[in-house]
Amino acid sequence: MKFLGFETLLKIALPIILKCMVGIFAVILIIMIAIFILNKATNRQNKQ
Amino acid sequence: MEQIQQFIIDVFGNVSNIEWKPVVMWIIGGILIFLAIKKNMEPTLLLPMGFGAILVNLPESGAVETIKTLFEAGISNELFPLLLFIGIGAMIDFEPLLTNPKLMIFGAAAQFGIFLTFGLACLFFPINDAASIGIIGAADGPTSIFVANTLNSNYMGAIMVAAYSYMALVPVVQPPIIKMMTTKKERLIRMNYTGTKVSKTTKILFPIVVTVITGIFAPDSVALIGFLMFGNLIRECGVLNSLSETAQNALANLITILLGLTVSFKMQAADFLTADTLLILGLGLFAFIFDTVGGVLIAKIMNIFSKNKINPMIGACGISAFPMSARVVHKMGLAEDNQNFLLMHSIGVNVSGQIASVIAGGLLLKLVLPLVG
Repeated sequence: MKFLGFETLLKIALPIILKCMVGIFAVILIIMIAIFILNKATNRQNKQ
Repeated sequence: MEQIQQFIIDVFGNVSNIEWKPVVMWIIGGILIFLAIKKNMEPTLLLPMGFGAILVNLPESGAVETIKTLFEAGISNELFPLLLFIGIGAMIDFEPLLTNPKLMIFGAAAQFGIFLTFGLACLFFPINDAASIGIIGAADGPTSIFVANTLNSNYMGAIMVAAYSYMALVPVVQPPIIKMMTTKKERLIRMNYTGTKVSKTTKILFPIVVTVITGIFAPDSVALIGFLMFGNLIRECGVLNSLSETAQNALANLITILLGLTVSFKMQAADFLTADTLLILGLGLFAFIFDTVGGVLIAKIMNIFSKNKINPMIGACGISAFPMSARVVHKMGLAEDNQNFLLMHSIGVNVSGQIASVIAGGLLLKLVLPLVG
């Protein structure tokens, strides 16, 4: 174990972290919207 | 005399091969077995792992080759974690999530610890190991194995032990963090459960839709999410009940037995007993703590803008340690107010954490794998 310095963190890891955070919220948001649509569509079908 | 000497060497010669490091591994194996049996902590995994740790650290152990064969047959090619995901998918009821989809946001927020730990681990480890260590925060054994293995991490044993031990320690790790992050008033917030009926069509379409969406955005996670959702589809379709039961019981149990024992291949003293292992265990705990913080924090932020207040404790269930985390929060709610039933909400958040942790793993793989080559 040795300290590797901040270079990897700042140049490589940070952009990955930011992309992952944005990515995960985006995908979750899309799934949430899909569930809303599914619920709406099937409820309407049931009412008919 | 010479014959007696030779006899002693033949029979007891292996005793002289005992070194202190493997003995420490026997003790670690013993502790894992003790925690599994006496404390009932993830016994299905800690017990096989503990026994395996003893098995592979016996001097001149003849079991190493057999376990290596199992490792190559089931973990190197990611077969065991994926098959286990079919069983897990068949066990999960997504209804609490489908009735209140906005709970999914907590699942995403509670992956915060993964990324923070990944950044921290980059200070000490190469990027592939750092990402594998970060994913301990997924609180999801199969995902941890899948990511660590795909990224060819050198620390698979330590990562597995950390992931499963902390999952077992959720009832110990989470409550103090949740209490520290919330006020008494917040912990008393009651949440009504509407219990809206979810149609069968929605339940059937949900696993297919999630697989397609996740597959498009995080293609590296499609194996994990696909097998998880396949298991769920078997459960929800209504025409494969015997397959669903087999996946939930026989398949999941069989793979769990083999998985725990096989992982011990990476628990041989020479690789396991290093300062790196201690650091990985510390980073794993850090990941769990900040996952919890992330989930609770986003609930508090949402409360600023929302009319219907959310009990911020349920945010902590976004880590995917299913269903322990949901149970912990439900019990904490009842301890504050014996009429405050948070179970359905916390289960909803918990299952969304299961999905979000796989997506987090897939995204990390997508971005880190090209750098590793």
